[in-house]
Amino acid sequence: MTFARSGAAVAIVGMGCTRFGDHWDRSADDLLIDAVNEAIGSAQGIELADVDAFWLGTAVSGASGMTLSEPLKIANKPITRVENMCATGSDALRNACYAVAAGACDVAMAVGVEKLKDTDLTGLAIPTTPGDGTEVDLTAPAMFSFIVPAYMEKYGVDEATMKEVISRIAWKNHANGAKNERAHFRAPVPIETISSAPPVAGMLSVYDCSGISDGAAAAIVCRAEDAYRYTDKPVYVRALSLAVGTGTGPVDSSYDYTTFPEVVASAERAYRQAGVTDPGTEISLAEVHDCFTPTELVLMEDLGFSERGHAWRDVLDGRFDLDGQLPVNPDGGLKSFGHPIGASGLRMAFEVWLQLRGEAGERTVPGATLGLTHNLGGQPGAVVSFVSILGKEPE
Amino acid sequence: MQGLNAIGWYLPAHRLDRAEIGATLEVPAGKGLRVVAGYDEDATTMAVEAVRRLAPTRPTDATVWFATTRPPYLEKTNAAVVAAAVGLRSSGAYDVAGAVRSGFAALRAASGDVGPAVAVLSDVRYGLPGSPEDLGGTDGAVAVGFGDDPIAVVRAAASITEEVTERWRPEGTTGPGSWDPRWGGPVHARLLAEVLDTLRKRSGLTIDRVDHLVVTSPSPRAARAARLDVEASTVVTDGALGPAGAGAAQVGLLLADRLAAAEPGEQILVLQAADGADALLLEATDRVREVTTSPLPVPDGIRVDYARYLTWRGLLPREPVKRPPVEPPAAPAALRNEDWKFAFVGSRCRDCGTAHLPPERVCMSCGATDRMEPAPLQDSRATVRTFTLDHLAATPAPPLAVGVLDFDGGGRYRCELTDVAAGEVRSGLRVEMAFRLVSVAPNGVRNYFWKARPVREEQR
Repeated sequence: MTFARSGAAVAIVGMGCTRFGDHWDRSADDLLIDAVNEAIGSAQGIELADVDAFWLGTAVSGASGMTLSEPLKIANKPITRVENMCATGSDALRNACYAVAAGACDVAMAVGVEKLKDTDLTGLAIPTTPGDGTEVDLTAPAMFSFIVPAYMEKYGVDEATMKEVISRIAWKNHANGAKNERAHFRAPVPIETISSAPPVAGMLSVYDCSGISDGAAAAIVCRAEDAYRYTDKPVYVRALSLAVGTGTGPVDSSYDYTTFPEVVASAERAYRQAGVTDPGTEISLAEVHDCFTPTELVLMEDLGFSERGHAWRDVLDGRFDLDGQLPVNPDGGLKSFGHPIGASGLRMAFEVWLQLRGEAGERTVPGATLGLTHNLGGQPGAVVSFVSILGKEPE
Repeated sequence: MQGLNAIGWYLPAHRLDRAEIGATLEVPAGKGLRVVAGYDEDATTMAVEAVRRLAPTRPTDATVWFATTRPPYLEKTNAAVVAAAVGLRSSGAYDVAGAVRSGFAALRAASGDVGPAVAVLSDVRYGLPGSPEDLGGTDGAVAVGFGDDPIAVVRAAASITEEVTERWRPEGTTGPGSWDPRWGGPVHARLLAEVLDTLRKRSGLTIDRVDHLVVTSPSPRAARAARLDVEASTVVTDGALGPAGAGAAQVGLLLADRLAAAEPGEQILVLQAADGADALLLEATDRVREVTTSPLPVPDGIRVDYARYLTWRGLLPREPVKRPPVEPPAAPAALRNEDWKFAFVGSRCRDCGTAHLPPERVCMSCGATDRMEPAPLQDSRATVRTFTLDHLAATPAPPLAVGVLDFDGGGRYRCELTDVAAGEVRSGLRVEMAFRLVSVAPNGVRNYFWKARPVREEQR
């Protein structure tokens, strides 16, 4: 079953996104209030009370719908807490869109939030359930660092070139984030600084890792036919696709760490929904899950932007730069905008929203008509992958 | 015919240069290397490794008698962990813990048991910095099997007991205290001579000449001071394993050395003085030729510096990294998955042959449900496909090395690499599995599981 065929077309008519960063002086409640109110304020003629249902995405910053209803005093509305690892925010959006498409409500809101900076930890604390103690205690950068030697070996890329490739991805995303007042890290970083930093895991240094941030983002959706009641510049939801893997990559000897099969599956489904046949030329800009620089490298191939084994060359050629053929992470990405887990998927949609409405300032991708967001959770071999395609036009 | 039918020994991979201890503490520390158990080893994990090396007969059903002065758990039987790891769960498993003499006690219990039995002697020998145990102890383990097809038969055994407060270690203290060795030495020398007399009286044997004589005592001057009226072609005493020895494992490691050297028909006399004295007279059979490796002389290994060694023993605590606290393994989950967690048994699909680590009910290749059979892989070797060095992870030996392994005969698994230098990790590295202590949770529960280490033929 595909999204587009089964129900009404859906549009985004309002969005909000806090600045991401070290919000030492603000709680998850504060961030939620700010993001929701910004979204409400961006749509014409919608009050919070007009929203029929909410999907609240958070990985670790709260439980149940009351995480949203308590701070905003939303009484007796249906609110569902969503968790799907780092794709949590995207899944909140997907559920809100489905509710509207199905006719279950007229106006729905997706909200994502994460408050990570109250933990006093280095790196991300990945929630665990009680078990037999046999899981190896790997950090997230270590999990993704497996991609680097595997990609080098498979495609004959030498170590110096590979370091240049991943450093260039970090450099690009920092340069883009420097142009974004809502980004966590706003200073451009010289590529020499990036490539000479000490290792965190494998070939990855701290500059190859996404920022760990606090933040929140929100989107208001309604049926496409009602969109102009709330905004002059709606953004149309052309595809929503979620692929949840079997998690067997780490124990499957056929898995080679140079691809995310779940991403390939979710992208193919999304392109089918949106009628995209050549993503490398039809997509105007993409917000992708650059949790670590080698992730972005492999995603260029899994999303069909580069041929297999050629993404490293396209990266070096500047194809995904802000002024390149297909700008990737024009807002700075997870790398520079930051990564408050539950909010990230909606932050990606927020950038596409700005770009398609011509509101991205000096980051504007001229003539953008189709934007893609890609959001994943998990680790190589075991991920949940989400792809959306958002359009300036309904068809 | 019954008797001693298997021997297996294990010395951990790390070595500490005693000269470095001397330089750090500004004390005379002697020369040579001391054998060091890794940060992820304890008496239990080393016991598992020793039992896995039992040869020429690896028992499939035997009572386990586990001796150590450093039992990781009290109240709970450590031997049960050993039995689970080596597949000896159909008989009893017992700790004989606390005293150095426990090592001999386990040998006596196993040799006199009603069925097949394994004595496994294992110790982590340490004390306060500068103590004899710190400077000259040895960490290690030895397993001795008793049952059919012996490599040596027990001809006689005898023991005597005296309350000698020569050495003691109250619960909760780091290392042992001891009385003046100028007194302890002669006392234990006398006990050695007395137990030899007792052995003669009890057995009716003359015993005026043996081929191999092992004399051991935690009292450092006892062996040298002993006047034993028995001729011996070869005499082995404690110095071979460092001046402070290997605690409860000492007697077994010295015996392992003599079994490797013995010819068929030769007599091996083992004497130990501690809180009394024990004697064991063995005669090698033709099968003794199948014992080929000795723990002596101690082979070289991976160097560890003194600061890191002290940290591993809890004697130089360091600022913890800011990572989430260790989660204890859930006891019900550990029991449900006992074969996986303790014995590294995965599953293999009967329909398509795909191996699963950990075991699964639904096949990841063909989708068949409940068509699995056990896939024991602890003795299979593997090749590192890809790897990473994790500088962020909390570990006493940073960086944490993790390898993606492909097992010979099928099966992919990702696990920590141990006993390996960071520069040594590479794709294509050949590895074997090792039973290790992964972490100790705040509630005191020890999380045991398997890691991979490079294949080093000389350890076999």
